[in-house]
Amino acid sequence: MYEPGIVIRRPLPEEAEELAGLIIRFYRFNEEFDPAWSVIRDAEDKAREVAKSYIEGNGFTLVATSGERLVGYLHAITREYPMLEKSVQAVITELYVLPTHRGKGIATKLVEEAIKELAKQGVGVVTSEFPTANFVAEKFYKSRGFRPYTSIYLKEV
Amino acid sequence: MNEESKGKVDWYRLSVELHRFYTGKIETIPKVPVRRIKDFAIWYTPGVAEPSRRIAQDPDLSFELTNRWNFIAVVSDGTRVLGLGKIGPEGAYPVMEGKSLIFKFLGGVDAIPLVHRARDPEKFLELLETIEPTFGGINLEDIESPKCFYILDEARKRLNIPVWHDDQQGTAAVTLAGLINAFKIVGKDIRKSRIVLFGAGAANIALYRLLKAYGVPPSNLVVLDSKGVLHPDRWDIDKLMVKHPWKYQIAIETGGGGLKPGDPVEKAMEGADALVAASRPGPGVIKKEWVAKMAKDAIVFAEANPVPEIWPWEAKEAGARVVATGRSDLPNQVNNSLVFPGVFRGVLDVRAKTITDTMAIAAAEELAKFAEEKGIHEEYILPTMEEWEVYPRVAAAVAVKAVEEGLARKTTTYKEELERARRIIGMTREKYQLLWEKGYIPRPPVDYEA
Repeated sequence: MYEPGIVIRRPLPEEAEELAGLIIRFYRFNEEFDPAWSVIRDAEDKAREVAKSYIEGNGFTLVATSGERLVGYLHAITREYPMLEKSVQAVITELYVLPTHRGKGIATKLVEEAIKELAKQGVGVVTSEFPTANFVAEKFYKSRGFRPYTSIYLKEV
Repeated sequence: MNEESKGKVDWYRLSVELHRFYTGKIETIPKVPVRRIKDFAIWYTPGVAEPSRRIAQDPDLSFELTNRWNFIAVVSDGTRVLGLGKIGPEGAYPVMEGKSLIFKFLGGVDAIPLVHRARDPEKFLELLETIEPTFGGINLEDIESPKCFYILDEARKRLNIPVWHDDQQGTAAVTLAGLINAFKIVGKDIRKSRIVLFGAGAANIALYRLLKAYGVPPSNLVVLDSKGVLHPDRWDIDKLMVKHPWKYQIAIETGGGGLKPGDPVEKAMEGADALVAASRPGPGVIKKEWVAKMAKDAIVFAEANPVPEIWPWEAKEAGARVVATGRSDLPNQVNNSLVFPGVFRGVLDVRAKTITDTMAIAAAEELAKFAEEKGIHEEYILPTMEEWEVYPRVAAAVAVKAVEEGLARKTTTYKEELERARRIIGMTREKYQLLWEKGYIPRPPVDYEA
C-alpha cells in the first residue's frame, strides 16, 4: 500500500528549513529510547546546518513529498571494508515520516528507493542503525527482510 | 462520588466511625436451605463430587451449577484511587468494598473486592487470567493511566468473560447519555457538532472512542491534555506514539480538530457546541471567558470531583445552556452508578463473553431514552439514582445488544431480560430490607440528617 501523490527524490536547496524540522523530530524520537540520544537545547540551528550539508551531498539523502510538503526523509552513509567481498556497505542512519503520513508505506518506499539507488552505486550491503530499545524501528526493518547484524555497546566516559 | 458535603455534615469523620462500627460493608450469606447438618451432604461432600465431575467435563456448566453466573470481582492495584492517587491496594480496599455494595444493591450482582500488588501490567493481566474461572465478570477500578488502557484492551482479548473498566467505560457511557439529551434540548445534531474534550485521562479517552463509534466524525472533536491540543504536529507527538499510543491515535485521527499545534485552550473553545471537562478539581480550571467563546446554547459538562472545573452558575452566566457535573447536590449528575449495575446485570444474565463499545452505547442510549420519557429539560438530562427502573432498563438494553452481536451464550428478549433484572434486583432489595427491619443490620450509632 502506497499513498498516491507521494514523490521520492533528492532534497532541493530551498528545502533546508523543512528538512531540518524532520531531522530534529528524528533525533527527539530516538531520545525516547536511549539517553545517549539526548538532543541539545535549541537544536534548530545545528539541524539547519546538518540539513544543508545533506542537501549539498554529504552522505545519501532522499525525501518524500506530498504536494508541497516534506513528509519524510532517509539519510544513509557508506562505509568501506576493503577486506570483505562486499566491500561497500550503506548504513541507513536516519529515517523519519510525519505522524499524519504513517501507515501508508512511505518509509518502505524510501528504503526501497534508497536500496535501488545505492545498489547502482556499487553498494553490496545495506544496514540500518538505531537505538536497541527502538522497537518501532526494529519491527519495521525485521518485517522488511533485514536481520540483526552488528551489536554496538556504549559506555559513557 | 466523593463529593464535598452539603450543609455541615463531616462525611470523612462519619465515614471512619461507621466503617469502624460495621467493620466493613459486605459479607457472604448462603442462599440454599440448611435445615440440618445432613444437608451438607448435598452442598458439600459427598454429593458435591458429582457437580464437580460434570463441570470438569464441561467448564461452562460452572455458570449453572455454581454462583459464577452472578459473581464478579472488583479489581484494583490501588494506583489511582479516587482523587487520592497511588495509595496502594489496602488503601483501595474500602472503595472496592463500596463498589461491591453498589453492585449488589442496584444490580443484584454478587461482587467482591480484589485488591492486589500486581502493578506491572503483564502481572496484572496474568492475575486476571488466573482468576477467570471463579468469576462471571471483572470490574476494573482505580488503575493509573495509561496502564489502564492497555490492561483493559488486553484483558478484553484474553478473557472470555466481560471485563469493564468503570473509570473508562462507565463514565464515558453516562457522559454520552447526558450529551445525547443535552443535544436534543439545544436542538443540534451531535454528529454535526464540535465537541471539546478537556482532559485526556481514562474518562475522556474512553468518551472519545464512544463518540467515534456513535458516529461523531473525529475531525469534529478536539481533545486537550495538560500540554494542550492533541495534534499530529505537536512537538512531543513521537513520544506519545511510544508512551501513550491512545493519545497518539486521537491526535492523528482528529488532526487536532482543525487547530494549529500550539493553539491555546481559548482557541479550541471558539464556536464549540459542547465541552466535556474530565480533568482536575476546580473551580477556575475552566474559565468563564472560555465558555463565553463557545457557540450559542453551549453544553458544558464539568465532571471533576469534589469541585467541578467550573461552577454551573458561572458556566451559565457565560452563556452555557445545559450544564452537568459529577455532584449529586447539583442538577444533572453524571454518575456512573447509573450504568455499571445494569450493564453487569445484563451481561451476566446472558453470559456475554465481553462488553463491546456498542454495548456501552446501548446502555447510554437507554439511559437517555429513560430520561426523555420522563421529560427532559435543562435541569434534567439524566435519570437520578433514585429512579429504580433505570437499572433493569439498562440491563435489558445491554443484554439484547450482546445477543444481537452474537456475544451472548444465552439468548433473551428485551422484555424477558427486563422482567428478570427487575426480579433479581427487587429480590435483593427485599432481602436487604428484611435484614434491616429485623435489626440484623444494627442501627448506626452516629448519623446525619437525611
